[in-house]
Amino acid sequence: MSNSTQVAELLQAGIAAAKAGRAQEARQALLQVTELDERNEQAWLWLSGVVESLKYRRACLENVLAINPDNGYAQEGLRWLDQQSSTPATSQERCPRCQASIPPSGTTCPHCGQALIVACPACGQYVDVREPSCLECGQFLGDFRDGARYHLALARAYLKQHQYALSQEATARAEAEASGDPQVLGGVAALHEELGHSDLAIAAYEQAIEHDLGNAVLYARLGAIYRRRTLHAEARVMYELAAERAGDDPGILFELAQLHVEEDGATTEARKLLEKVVRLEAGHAQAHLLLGDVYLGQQRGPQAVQHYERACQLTSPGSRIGREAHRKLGRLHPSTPEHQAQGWMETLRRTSGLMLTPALAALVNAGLSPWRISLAAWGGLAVSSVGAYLWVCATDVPRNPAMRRVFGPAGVKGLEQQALVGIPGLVLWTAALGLILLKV
Amino acid sequence: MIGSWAFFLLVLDFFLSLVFLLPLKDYRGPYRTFPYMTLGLVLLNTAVHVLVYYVLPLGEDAWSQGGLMWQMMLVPADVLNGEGLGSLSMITAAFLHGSWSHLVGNMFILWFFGRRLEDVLGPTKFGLFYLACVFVSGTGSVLGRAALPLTQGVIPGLGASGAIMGVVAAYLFLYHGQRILTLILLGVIPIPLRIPAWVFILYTVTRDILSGWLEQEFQAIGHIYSFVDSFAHLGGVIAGLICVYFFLPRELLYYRHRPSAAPKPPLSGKS
Repeated sequence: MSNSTQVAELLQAGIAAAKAGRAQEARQALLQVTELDERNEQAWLWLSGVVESLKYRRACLENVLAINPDNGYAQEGLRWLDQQSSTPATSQERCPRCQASIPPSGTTCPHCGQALIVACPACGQYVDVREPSCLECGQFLGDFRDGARYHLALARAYLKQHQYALSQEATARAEAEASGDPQVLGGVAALHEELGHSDLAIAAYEQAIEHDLGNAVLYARLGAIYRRRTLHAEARVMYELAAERAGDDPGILFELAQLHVEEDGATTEARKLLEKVVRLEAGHAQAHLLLGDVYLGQQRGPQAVQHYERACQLTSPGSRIGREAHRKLGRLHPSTPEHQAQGWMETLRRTSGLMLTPALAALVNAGLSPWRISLAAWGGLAVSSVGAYLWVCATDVPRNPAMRRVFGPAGVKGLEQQALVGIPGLVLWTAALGLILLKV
Repeated sequence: MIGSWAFFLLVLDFFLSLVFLLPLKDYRGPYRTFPYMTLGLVLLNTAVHVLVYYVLPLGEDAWSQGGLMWQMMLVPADVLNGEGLGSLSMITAAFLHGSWSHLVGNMFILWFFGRRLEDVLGPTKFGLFYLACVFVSGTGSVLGRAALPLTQGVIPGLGASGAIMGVVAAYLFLYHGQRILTLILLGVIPIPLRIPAWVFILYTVTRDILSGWLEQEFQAIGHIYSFVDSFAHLGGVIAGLICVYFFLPRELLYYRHRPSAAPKPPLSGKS
């Protein structure tokens, strides 16, 4: 659509809305016309009829006369306004900041650059900068005398409403008026970051850091940008500076640890950092997950399991971290705790599992009456229990007390010893089960 | 006539029978090992099915014409009287199936849940676990069916479902909260839904309990309600929950419930 067609359509829509009494709709359309074509006499004239304050009405009519000094409607309207108000006209309009006189239709003070009107982030209506709230929708806008902070807040509000051009404009204004305020500069940098201008963000962060050398967050944010740009050395410097200044901030420490892991793998330094993070913030699921990875990388399975378990507990199974922790945990086979591996109870448990089958087979053969189990079956059960025990010693509990006594402290070790104990065990168990099943 | 309570159960069972759950995916990530034993069991069951229904009938003797199959099935009355193959028939019956749909249904569930369990236990232990489940579920079947007032355990039973229910129960023990993508067939309407594992087993167990109960009620008035061996299924669930304790690696049992008991990482020192 060409500009003139758009202007014509908007003008038509604005006039129709004004005639129908839909003042807000008319205002929006006509304001857009004046933005596209600021010398549109018709638009200013109709706009004068739908604006809410007399001050705006006067400004509109003056604009009409500036375009066409012979416009009778405008002349008459101004005369009427003069009668209504004792306020002198345009010549006395002054900039709220520098107090210099300003043109009636200007949007910025030509002397100090102060914005004179701002768009409301909620409804888009242009509002006099001196108004603390939007006249149309009541949205709070703040106090323009706050300067950079006022524009920063507006920029954030625009961004929230996805009005990127306005947000960028307000950010630039905030940056121009920041005058070395590190908080504002930090905010400006964050906005640049969100708007996708990382170069501008870096510059703003650097400027903010110059004015506030002790602010860890600024270093960390700058480090994050470097990290995203895979400038790992620069990122690490920034994170380390941040950690020096805020050694108890789990967020900063975690990001530094992540960087260590990305760059150098599962190092002791990364592990120490992550241990500190989980000490400072026990509920940091992501840190537990990463710490699990680091332990796993250092061949320390049980510790990895502990942290994966913790990450599982802290998250829902459906979440990304929860899913990852469950998956990693499922792949791990931690070793049996030593006191279990060396005890009789574990041997008994394992042997009982294997004895279930021959015991039930004998019981069923005896018509489920234990007293009817034959002597041969009892013998079979005894043999199968010896077989099961030997098999368990060879495979699952090689360091049980008996095996340690026979083979030394390491118990059944190596393929040869395992075969020596396990194969007779399996043969005995299978043969005894066969005898029971066949009711020999 | 059956009582009003039994009638209510009958209606409930009817409505539950309109729902069919088909597990499709369990989101536990890739398998660590190839499931040799699960695959072996599936192939063995299929081979026995082909042998019994397609190869044996080629012979003309009575043994081939159903005699052997009858011997291989689990007849509770025979088992209790010490007749037939006795406990061996629990194993043989667990490899027999009544039809292709019976076989395919059972093997599908075994393949779905068995692989995960084999991943944890390893093929040998999984095989031994399966064997133990065969016996525990078989014992459940013998006890349950022998107590039925009408048939009194003379109807032969067959199928791997008892042992497979043991596998499903063991899966539940390990991953009760795990969501399973399940195709829920409501009549003819398929609804794919991610349901927790416990819902799947709760549905199955509920149906088995209802079915077993109704079997008792119907047999008391001289009718047979169903030929599905619900007692073997329930025995299988119990088997799975018992056996998994004896077969599961201690470390999984141990750390599963005591994550804090795992060795503490030293906060300093060389790694």
